[in-house]
Amino acid sequence: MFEQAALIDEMGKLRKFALRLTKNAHNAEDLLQSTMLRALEKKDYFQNETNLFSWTSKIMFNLFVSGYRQKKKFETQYDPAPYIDQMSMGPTQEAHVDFVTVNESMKLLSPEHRQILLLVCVEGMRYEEASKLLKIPVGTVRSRLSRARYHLQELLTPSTPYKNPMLGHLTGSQQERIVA
Amino acid sequence: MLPPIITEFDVQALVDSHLTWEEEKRVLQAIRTDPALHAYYLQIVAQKKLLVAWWKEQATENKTAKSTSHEAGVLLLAGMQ
Repeated sequence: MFEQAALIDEMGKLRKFALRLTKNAHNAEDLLQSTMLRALEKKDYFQNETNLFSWTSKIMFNLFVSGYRQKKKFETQYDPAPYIDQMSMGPTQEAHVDFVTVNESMKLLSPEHRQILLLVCVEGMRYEEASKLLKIPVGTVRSRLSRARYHLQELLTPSTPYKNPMLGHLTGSQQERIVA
Repeated sequence: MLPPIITEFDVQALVDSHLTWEEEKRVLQAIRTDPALHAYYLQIVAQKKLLVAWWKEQATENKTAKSTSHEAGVLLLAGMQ
């Protein structure tokens, strides 16, 4: 097993490796994120005395060969649910985030929040494009998206606090603005 | 001069691939050194992956969404109740 910080430390080298494989920055980022997820899912199999970069780069190469080169979408190949369970809820909790839960949670969001999540997270729309489509400033896109993510996470994992790292650094009025 | 504070918007922009290479390096450095930022980054990545997988599931189950364009499907689903 390895510490998550150690994996983060390898991201730079893994990104370069992904770029060499895919020859494309966007695809490299997809490959990198899929590799990170897979590595976290399988971290119990990592042997401490071995090299983490070698291990993760092997995962990346296997992902690239088995799926990416065939131009399949990563999202359909790799179920993120186990990762969500592990990272967001902790191993002792029995709750299981599945598509039904996501569906119900999305229904509970406001239409504006559903819309911005779907446009940016699902469709991969750029903030500027969403701004033009929705006829709102880019800053509003960013703040609306942030609030939508906050509310969705609260609905998906109500027993786990949203891991917003910024609130401790901000003033009271800024905190209120963010979580409003 | 103090280094600029990395905000949740910076982390989200990283996950949404909206940063330049230089900005990305700055945010990643902060993620490496700040456990709270690290946890937040992982949470946002996981949430985004889950949403994408859920949407694909929806698209296969919902003929209406499947038969419309992506953008129209998004706007249609945004109004669901």
